[in-house]
Amino acid sequence: MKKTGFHKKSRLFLLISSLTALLFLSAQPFAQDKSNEYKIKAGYLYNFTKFIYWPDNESATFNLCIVGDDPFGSIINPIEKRTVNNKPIRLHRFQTITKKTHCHLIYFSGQAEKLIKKDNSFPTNSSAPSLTVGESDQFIKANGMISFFLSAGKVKLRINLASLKKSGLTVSAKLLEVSDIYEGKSND
Amino acid sequence: MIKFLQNFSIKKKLIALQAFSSLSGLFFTTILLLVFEVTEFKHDAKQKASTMAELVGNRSTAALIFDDPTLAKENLEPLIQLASFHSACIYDSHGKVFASLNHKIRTETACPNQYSGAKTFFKQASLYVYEPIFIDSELIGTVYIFANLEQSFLRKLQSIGVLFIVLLAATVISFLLTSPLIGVITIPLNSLLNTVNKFINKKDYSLRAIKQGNDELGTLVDTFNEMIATVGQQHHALTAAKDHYQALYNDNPTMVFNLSKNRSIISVNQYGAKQLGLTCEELQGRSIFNFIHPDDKQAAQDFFYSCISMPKKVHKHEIRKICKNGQIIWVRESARVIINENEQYNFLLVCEDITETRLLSKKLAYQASHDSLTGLVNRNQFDKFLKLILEKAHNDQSEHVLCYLDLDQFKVVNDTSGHLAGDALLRQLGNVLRKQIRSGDVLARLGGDEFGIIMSHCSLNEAYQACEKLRNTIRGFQFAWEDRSFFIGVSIGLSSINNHSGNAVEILKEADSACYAAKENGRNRIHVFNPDDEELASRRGEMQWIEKIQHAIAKNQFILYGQRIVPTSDTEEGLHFETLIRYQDKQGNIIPPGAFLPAAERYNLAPALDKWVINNLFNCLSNYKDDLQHLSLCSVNLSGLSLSDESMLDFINNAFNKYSIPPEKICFEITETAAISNLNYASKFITLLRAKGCSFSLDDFGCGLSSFAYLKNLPVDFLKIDGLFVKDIIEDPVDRAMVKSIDEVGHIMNKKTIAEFVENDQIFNQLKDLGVDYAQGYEIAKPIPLKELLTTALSPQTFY
Repeated sequence: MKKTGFHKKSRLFLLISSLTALLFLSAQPFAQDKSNEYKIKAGYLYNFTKFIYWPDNESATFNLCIVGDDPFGSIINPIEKRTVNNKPIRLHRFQTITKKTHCHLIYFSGQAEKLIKKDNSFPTNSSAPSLTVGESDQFIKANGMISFFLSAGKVKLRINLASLKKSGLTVSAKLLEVSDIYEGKSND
Repeated sequence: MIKFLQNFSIKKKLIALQAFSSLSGLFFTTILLLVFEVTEFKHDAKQKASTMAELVGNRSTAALIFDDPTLAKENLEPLIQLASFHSACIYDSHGKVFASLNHKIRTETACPNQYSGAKTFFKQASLYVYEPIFIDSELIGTVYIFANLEQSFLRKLQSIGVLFIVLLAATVISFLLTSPLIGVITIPLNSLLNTVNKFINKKDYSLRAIKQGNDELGTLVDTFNEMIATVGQQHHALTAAKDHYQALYNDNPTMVFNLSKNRSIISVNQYGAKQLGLTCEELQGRSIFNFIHPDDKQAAQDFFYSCISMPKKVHKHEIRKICKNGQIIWVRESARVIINENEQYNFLLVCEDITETRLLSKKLAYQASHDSLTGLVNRNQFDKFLKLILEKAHNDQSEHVLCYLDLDQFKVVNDTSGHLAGDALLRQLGNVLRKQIRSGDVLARLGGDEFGIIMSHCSLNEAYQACEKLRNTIRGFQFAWEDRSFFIGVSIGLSSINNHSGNAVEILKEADSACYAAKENGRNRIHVFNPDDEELASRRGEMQWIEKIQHAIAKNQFILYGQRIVPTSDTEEGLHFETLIRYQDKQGNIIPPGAFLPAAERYNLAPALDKWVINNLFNCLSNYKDDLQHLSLCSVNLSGLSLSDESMLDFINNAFNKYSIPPEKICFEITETAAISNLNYASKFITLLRAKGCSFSLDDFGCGLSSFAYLKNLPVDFLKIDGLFVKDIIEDPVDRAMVKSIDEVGHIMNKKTIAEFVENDQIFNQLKDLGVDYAQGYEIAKPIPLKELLTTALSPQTFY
């Protein structure tokens, strides 16, 4: 038990230091440096978990799935030390969406954006909804829920509110306040 | 404060108390209100601002996380509506300003650029709020609000001020409403106080306070009334006692002083002040020595010192005091030291006025030491002086002389011109003598016509000359009384007082003897005592006779003799004799009366001797009661002193009764000088005894220069012609003529005559021729013991 306590403490320390690093990065206006950009994006991915209400499911972990080419690399790895609703975050990297793993959050990278479905439904063994995040307007238009975009050198968010509501996920108004809301028609 | 209040009246105290409690209540209420309101205000303001900051922070979490300062600033915007708002900021997790908002006007208080980690705090009226922003326990930023609450604060204070004024007004009103209630306490108290003041001013013990309620004050009034009643009773008792003791003190007929230790008068009673002629108040503080006679001041000082040295004893002495009017009074002072309440000693001095006693004792002392007639020193005092000078002589071998003076013809003056003349003579002579002596000498009257002088520091020779001068002076002194004048002489005896002298009595005896010798030598002369002088030897015995006579009377050492008196005619008359007295000494010698009778006369023993004679004679006669028809007459001598002895008459009467002697058998012989010197009493004496049946004969008739005129007034039965005329009757025709004329006068006055000193037949015959009735003398019959005479004369066998 003592050993376990010690591990918890050391883990907490690592967590804080990494988070601080994330926030620091996020606060820093970055240049055309892609790695900085993805650091912020990785932080944002984590931050989304705080403003989205996830319906409970049987999964023991919070599964974050990166579909397509991984733009983050090892930058995002520390996120696995964090939890969402007391569930440890697990990174999953796929080229395509598999039925095996239920992803709470799916990040579509590059060409993988095409894998988005109009109803955001993916082959899974769970009925629980998944938050879909992409990087282009097309993604939003294709009923993706959140996409990053750059504005005045800053990473900004665009949210397809209809798509989100339809999926059954609840989003915090605070998140909406800092985001650009896509008013386009839903494709369903 | 309390001390300051102590002198206030109770009303003022109560008002002060009420005011103090109201104001202190108001004060504490205000303070509490102020503190509470300010605290509450601050707490509210802080709470409000913190809530605002929390809201802002909460809303800005996404803005912070997703880096949206514009949104954050928008979130701050509503704060500007706050009245006290000055500036607000949101800091990011690094403490850097993320978004800031300033009041449009109050731009001077922009938020600091860097958050320093401070917590919410007040600085005076400024509120600094720092509210951290958390998300999932992670600090992501801080909201800062700066508000200046000065205006709100002032408004708060204003409202508190208004509240205070309202409270103050309420307090004042309640004070004004309750003030009259103070009277409930003060009015009865003042009423009691008024009564107390009246009581103090008027000392009226009948005053009573009025009770106004049954509270503690009512009890106090009751207690006060009871107390006054008790005090009144005690006051009366005390006043009575005080008056009593004051009277005892002030009217006490002694002067009572209380003196301080420096002898000044603290208090004096009224009698004492009156004696000194001042008031008590005037005497207070004055020294007691102001009233002490200057000669007694030292004694008074010593007196007070002795009081101090023996404080437990009462000291007494007698002293003179001077009154205001200069009068000197004698007082007997009693004093003792008393310790007063301050542990200091005072003197209690009591003076009794003994002036009268003093004067009287002085007078008595003078009288005791002086002769009242001449004012000269008397015998008693003279003896004292004599003893003193004798002591001096013994001590320092000095020589002095005692003079004993006896007037020669004084008796003549006394007998012929009366006692008044005699007294006048003595007085004048006293003055004459006084002028003659030296100032240091002592002149005294020692007896009837005897004077003594002590000449101090004087030889016998000088004394002799001085006495010669005295003798001449007296010789030249002519005493005039009515139409007669007398010349007198003096016999002076001198005795030396020196180292070898005996005691004072002996010296006096010597001088007396010398004087006697001078008289014997022919009067009006001076004789110096000489121990070898034989003629004085017998004389010296006279004084010794005093004791012998007294002893002999007590022990019956006298013997009665009788000498027949016979008629010159041949008629038978039975036994007629004169009773005579003899002294028988221890050796059995019979001493004739010439030896002791003068002493008896001189020392006033004659009446006692006469009584002894009468008693023994009567006793003796009573043994011959049955033969008394053969007794014709028994004569017995009475001295002049016996005639004036008041007890003598009674004694004789008692003797007659006791021994049943027929009075007609007894004839009393008195001398003409004795009879004449007390003529009235002698006449009465004679008359009374003659009334009983006794007869009287006048002894020694003719020698005393007496006048026949007295015979008229002396109812005597016999005249005894003095032997001086009789013994020389044969040779001296003058004597014969004298006897003849006496005899004739006697016969004319119906008195029988008796001649003494009939020493031979020739005389007897001559007397018979002359017609003298009786004769008495050695030739006729010698004196023989009475018993022998009576036995032979009265017994029938030897009938004469």
